[in-house]
Amino acid sequence: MTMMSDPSEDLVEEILSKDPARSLKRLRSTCKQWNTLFNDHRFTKKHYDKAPKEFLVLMLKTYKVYLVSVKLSGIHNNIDPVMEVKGELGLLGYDNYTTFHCNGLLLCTTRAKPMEYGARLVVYNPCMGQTKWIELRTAYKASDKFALGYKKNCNSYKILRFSGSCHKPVFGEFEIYEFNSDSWRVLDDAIHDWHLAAQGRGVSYKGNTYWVASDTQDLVDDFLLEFDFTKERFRRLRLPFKDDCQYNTVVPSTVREEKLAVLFQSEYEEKTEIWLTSKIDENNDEVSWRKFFTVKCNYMFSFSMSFMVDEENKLAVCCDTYMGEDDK
Amino acid sequence: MSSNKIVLTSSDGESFEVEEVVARKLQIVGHMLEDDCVINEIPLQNVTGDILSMVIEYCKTHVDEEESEEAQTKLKTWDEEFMKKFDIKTLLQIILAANYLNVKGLLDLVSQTIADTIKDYTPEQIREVFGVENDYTEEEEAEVRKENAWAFDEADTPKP
Repeated sequence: MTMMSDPSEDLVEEILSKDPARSLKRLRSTCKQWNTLFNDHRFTKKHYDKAPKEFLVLMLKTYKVYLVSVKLSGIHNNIDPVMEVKGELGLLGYDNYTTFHCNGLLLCTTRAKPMEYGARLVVYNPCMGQTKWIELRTAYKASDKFALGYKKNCNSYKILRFSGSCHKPVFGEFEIYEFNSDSWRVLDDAIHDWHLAAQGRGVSYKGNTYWVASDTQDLVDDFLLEFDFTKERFRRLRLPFKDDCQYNTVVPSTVREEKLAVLFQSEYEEKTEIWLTSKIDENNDEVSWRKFFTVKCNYMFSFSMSFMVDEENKLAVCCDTYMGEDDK
Repeated sequence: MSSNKIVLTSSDGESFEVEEVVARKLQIVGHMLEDDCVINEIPLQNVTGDILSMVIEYCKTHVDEEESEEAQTKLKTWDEEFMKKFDIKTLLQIILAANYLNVKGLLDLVSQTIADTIKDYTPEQIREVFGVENDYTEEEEAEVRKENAWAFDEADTPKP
């Protein structure tokens, strides 16, 4: 009787290309050959096309990025949700000040050495364990804001840099870094005439970046600010609620990078709303929003809060960094 | 299409009489039939009877693949139920057979099922199941593990 033995390399590749990235990360210590395979460009391309995409919750805590495990599935059956801070995500640098996430990549401002002055910019692929340090054109400033995005249809990544503070409209202070050419250039024709809300935190959605912002001349009425990494231009989009008070909390988020979400908390009305959209047309400035829910809530979130939406279980998890020592 | 019967014989001597259309789902058989149309008994040296019977069951179910959404959904449900019957060892036997017999649909289905099954396995479990030899030194392995430590967090409960 002929018995077949273990699967051939081709079959093993076929199977592993269908496993999520985090499983492969874990299986790197299986043997040297697999570790080499997972770095192979041909394999990573195949894997990118075939593997199911995973969604991880990350938290920046005491200047380190951690993986957070969130189990919400039993919440409607009286099973308490579980949130645990898990392992630290790789060995990035010493102190990470800010992180920005896009398509599985993390952009961090970090210190490469302890006690180093200023910060450096690094892009990290946690699943591949690869890092790319990026030299800045001019010295890093604490007010600098960075966003990572990509040009549509060709996945060529870019970084946008600008100053987080703006008191009057100004031209020529935006810089673009392109990975392909490994160089920075100045965007001459873009005007900076807005303030960012939510501590300037932006979210990545389909390659572009979105912030909540208000005009430098009119601090009250917020809008959704888009930076289109393909066209390299800003655009103002309407938010679905009337935000008529400077002290309201308005924070952007995404739902699995498939939808854009905005949380709105009114200073006076003790209510919190979350709105979703999956349709942002590049030729139409009108966005069609859908209200996910409204809840009565007498806890007022700070501007630095963040949240994630679980559409299936109809809930949102909010994390406010303002409260308590642990959450800093 | 003729209703010609073909006999498929496994490595351990088990015989299966199937319709020619079913046998042709095994592309290895399809090629043999094209080369010589008078064959009616085909020995399949690399697959045992118990595995061959499962491959045939899959091919019988997939013999007429209708385009309609309803038929596709029904087949998908059948595929899921079918795959649930097997443990990882059997799945690996089936993938080897699907590869050797060249049954594309089954190969895709089984490779996805194996991928889903092993996704929470530890490297130790994988080595055992796939017969992979650990060629790291203790220090090297510890180093690679350290680099990838965060990915281990939810895989610490072993699933056999």
